[in-house]
Amino acid sequence: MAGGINLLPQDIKPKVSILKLSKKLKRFILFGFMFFVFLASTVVGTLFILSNNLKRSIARQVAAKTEIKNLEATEQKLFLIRDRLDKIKQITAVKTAQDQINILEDALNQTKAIDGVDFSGAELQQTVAKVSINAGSSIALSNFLYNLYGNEDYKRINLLALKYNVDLGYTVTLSIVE
Amino acid sequence: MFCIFLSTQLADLRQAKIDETTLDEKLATLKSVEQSSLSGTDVSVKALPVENPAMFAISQVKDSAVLATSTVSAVKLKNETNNTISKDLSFASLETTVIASDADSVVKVMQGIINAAPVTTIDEVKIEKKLDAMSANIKLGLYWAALPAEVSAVDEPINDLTADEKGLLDKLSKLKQPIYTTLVPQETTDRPNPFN
Repeated sequence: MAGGINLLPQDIKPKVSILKLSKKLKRFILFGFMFFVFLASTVVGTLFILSNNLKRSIARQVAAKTEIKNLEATEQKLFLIRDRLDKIKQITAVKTAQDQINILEDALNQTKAIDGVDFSGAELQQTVAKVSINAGSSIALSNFLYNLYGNEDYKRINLLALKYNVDLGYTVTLSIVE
Repeated sequence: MFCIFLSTQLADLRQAKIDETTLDEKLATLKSVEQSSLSGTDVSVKALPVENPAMFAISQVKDSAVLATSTVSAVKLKNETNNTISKDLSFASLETTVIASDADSVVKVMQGIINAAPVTTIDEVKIEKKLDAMSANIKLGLYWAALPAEVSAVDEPINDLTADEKGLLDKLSKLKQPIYTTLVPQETTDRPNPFN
């Protein structure tokens, strides 16, 4: 009975639309606040986890660095070996006269295989080998040259000098490039 | 504000993870390095010494000549400054004259030099027949280099020797090593008369 009578004047009673808006605003603020609390706790939680992970990672790094320090001798040896090997590789990569030794050996073998041909000298340089021989006859000389030209490893064979002497026979100087 | 802080933390963590991985890899590499590889330290330093290896090279030339029944008749050492290979390498040239009975012996001498430590290069060879003997003028390149002044930083990655490097090390270990003579110090004795 008491709740059914409104003694307030009807003109100061809020409008129904305003009441609805106020209700909506209250709900919005409540939800907004809850969302903010949720977001803030999520951010703080994430930051806490990240910070912990970072601390753990730094601790593991410190431990690893200590272990690496203990293995310093191994590291130094490895570093030294690599330094020497790199420099030795640089030295051996350069083409030198020693790359022509097999040409000299081949020429020497040819002189042994053919009668009447003698080795008389050689000059080994960075990219070329110059070989001199004495051949007692033109047949011996042609056999020597035939065998030499038959080697497919040689890119170029140039005749640098050809001399003939009645007593010595033919003296030939060849430049051979592999 | 939160977002900036969060992104900074994330970036720090990412960097920390990268550093941690690098350190773990380095540690694993150092633990797994074969001890046989490390024994190559001496071999590599003997192959490329710290100081001018002229004396060792001369000794190796003489040994190679003896093994090839030849003789070394002259040796001339010349310090060079114009090394074209690398500025980190010091270079000197050694000119030697070998007298051998035949050209095969000269080849043996050269092969002996190639297969001996320290690492040298045969830069020029001139072989001439003189009467019944062969005279060979061999010009060798000698190399040496200072040791690295500093090792890599702790957090810098390091790799084990590659198969190529191990192969080279194996090749170097097979080189004939120079003979080192250790002089034994004389025992001290009493001198009753210090003025004598």
